[in-house]
Amino acid sequence: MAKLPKPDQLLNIDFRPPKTGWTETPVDFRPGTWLYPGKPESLQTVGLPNPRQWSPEDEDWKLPENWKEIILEGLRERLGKFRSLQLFMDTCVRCGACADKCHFFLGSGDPKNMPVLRAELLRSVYRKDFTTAGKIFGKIAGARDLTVDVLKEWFYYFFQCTECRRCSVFCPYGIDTAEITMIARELLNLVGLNIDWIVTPVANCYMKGNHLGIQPHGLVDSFEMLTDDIADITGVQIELSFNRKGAEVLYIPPSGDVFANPGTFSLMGQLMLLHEIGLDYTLSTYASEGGNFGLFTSHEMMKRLNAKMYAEAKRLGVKWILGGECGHMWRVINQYMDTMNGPADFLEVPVSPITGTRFDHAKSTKMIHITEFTADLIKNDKIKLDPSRNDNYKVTFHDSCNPSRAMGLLEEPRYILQKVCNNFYEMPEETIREKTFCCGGGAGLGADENMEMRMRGGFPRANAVRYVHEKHGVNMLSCICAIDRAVLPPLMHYWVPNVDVCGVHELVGNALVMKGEKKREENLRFEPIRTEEDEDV
Amino acid sequence: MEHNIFNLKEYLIQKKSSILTSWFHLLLEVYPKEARRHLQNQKNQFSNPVGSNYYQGLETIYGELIEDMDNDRLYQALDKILRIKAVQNLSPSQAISFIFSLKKVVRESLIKDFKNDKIPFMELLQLENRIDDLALLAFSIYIDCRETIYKLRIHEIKTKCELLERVNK
Repeated sequence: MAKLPKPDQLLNIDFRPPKTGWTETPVDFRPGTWLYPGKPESLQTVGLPNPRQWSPEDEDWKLPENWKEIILEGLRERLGKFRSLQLFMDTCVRCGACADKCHFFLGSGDPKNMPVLRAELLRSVYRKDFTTAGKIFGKIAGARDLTVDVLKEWFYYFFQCTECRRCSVFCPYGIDTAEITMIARELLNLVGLNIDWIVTPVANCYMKGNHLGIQPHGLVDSFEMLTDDIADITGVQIELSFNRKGAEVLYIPPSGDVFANPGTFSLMGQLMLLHEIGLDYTLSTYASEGGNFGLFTSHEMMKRLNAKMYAEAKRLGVKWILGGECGHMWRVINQYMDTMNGPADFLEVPVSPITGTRFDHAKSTKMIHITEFTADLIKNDKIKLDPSRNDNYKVTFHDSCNPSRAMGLLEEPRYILQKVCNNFYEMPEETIREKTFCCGGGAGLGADENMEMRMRGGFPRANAVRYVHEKHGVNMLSCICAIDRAVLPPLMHYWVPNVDVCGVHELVGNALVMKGEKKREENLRFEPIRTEEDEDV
Repeated sequence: MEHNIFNLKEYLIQKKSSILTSWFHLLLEVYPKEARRHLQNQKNQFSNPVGSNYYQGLETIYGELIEDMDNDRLYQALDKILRIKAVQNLSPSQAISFIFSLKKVVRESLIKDFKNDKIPFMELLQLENRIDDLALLAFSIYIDCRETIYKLRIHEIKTKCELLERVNK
């Protein structure tokens, strides 16, 4: 029989936090807050160290015997290689400007989610082994030994950061805590500590070109389902081409949009648009993924996965690359690509064949975002739009972390939205643009097992959506990131149940008046379009 | 404080600010002090979504306890608080304990302001009954939130399975 607690024990509820200091309080691995470890076969596929079965709940994490040496040597190597890391380790003055800017801290009230303290998890070890003050004064100088408990804490908290970089916007020294997380994850990977929601997509992407490991026939089949739906809704049959040599443009959407709603609706909008303007483009069944989970693994892995898009562009002989509504892909392209795989000299500076606009800002990477391309089409009056077809929706826009903070893509999506729908409302100023709140599931944290943590992290965003929902009746949250489209629907379901999620190009597709189309009665979700007659009724 | 006429309702209206503040502070005791500072002091609802939702929720609950106990309004206010607590590192009892702490705050306030024999015990008991009802409602809301999380998980798993079945045909 189970041991029953006595009444006085039941009454004695201690709801106060532990009295020990942060360095002495070990992590409680409560289900719902951590992610499943990487599958050994996925680690083997990409040659990551220490593949094995293990669980964060186990006492023994089956680390290599010399794990401490590996981590410290790894840190030493990276301090030498990345000057930014050395600066980030040394310059923080603990001013606290970042402390209340992290969505995970705001949603959880866990101080170790304050960016300053998250960085301190690594910095304390750095001080102990790499600074004179730390070596001599130890704890007084904020230094501590690297122990298994510290390593477990790293795993818990560095896979509880979505690398969204909101904190770095407020840091007076420009410390990029996301880069500290990236390095910490690199170090954890050296001893085989990683999560399956990252490692398996990485392995799939490496072997088959996309996160889910969908093979070419499955991919083509899925695209054809979308063009069939488009034909049903518009009467226009779109022919796609795959792996076609000599096309002018290689178009790479995030694979999430090919398979899962509501991303599929956004992709349909993009396929309709590219068909309508007659762009000479091809899709690829090999470079079939815009996303790059290598970014969440290591610099080396990011480089490896990024290279495939350019290798395919070279093989097909295209002039430039058009990228879909993807998030972190753009951080890789804008911030790292050039010094990893670039410059892409074999491609040409992107020029829109429809408007003649030359996208000089992409003259090195040769790759532009679909919203830049579409905004330019609208600005030059090259497409016909009927925004009233989106009158069912009162729309707001969630700035996805990477396009907004890593590439400054702030105006183009808004410009498009204002042209394709009649009801657009901004969320409060401190929650959008470069200060946008993360969806809570970026940087590989969009799994199901950490749903509770996702709900915490996404709460500041949902709270702002709830505000415009209550104030203006907003019922559609638009975004330009495939991770957002996967993560935001459950977030809305939990916090603001009457708000749906869409990609910007879903609304473009609804509003787009196509040559030869039949009278549109349904939007891209097969829902009836509200007409003027409905209004009269 | 000297009161000749003991009307608990009037007293609670009069003491609203101090009782609410104490109740709010007790609710925040489950958080470490670094977090409490932020949750208590930051007034902006977007910079401090948790603290501001908590305070708004408590304020509505307090008003309803004194007045009419409108179930819809109470439900919404409790939901505002418990929906957050249901996803944090708190046990169910920790999440709901704040409701009972209102009894403590009101009793302490009364004891401070009145002599024992002047406390309107019957009215106080009525209020405490209402607080107990509130706890039952809170329990339902908390469970509903947790169930939603599990349903969301199941939905994601099913969606992924269906997708893999379809594309790997």
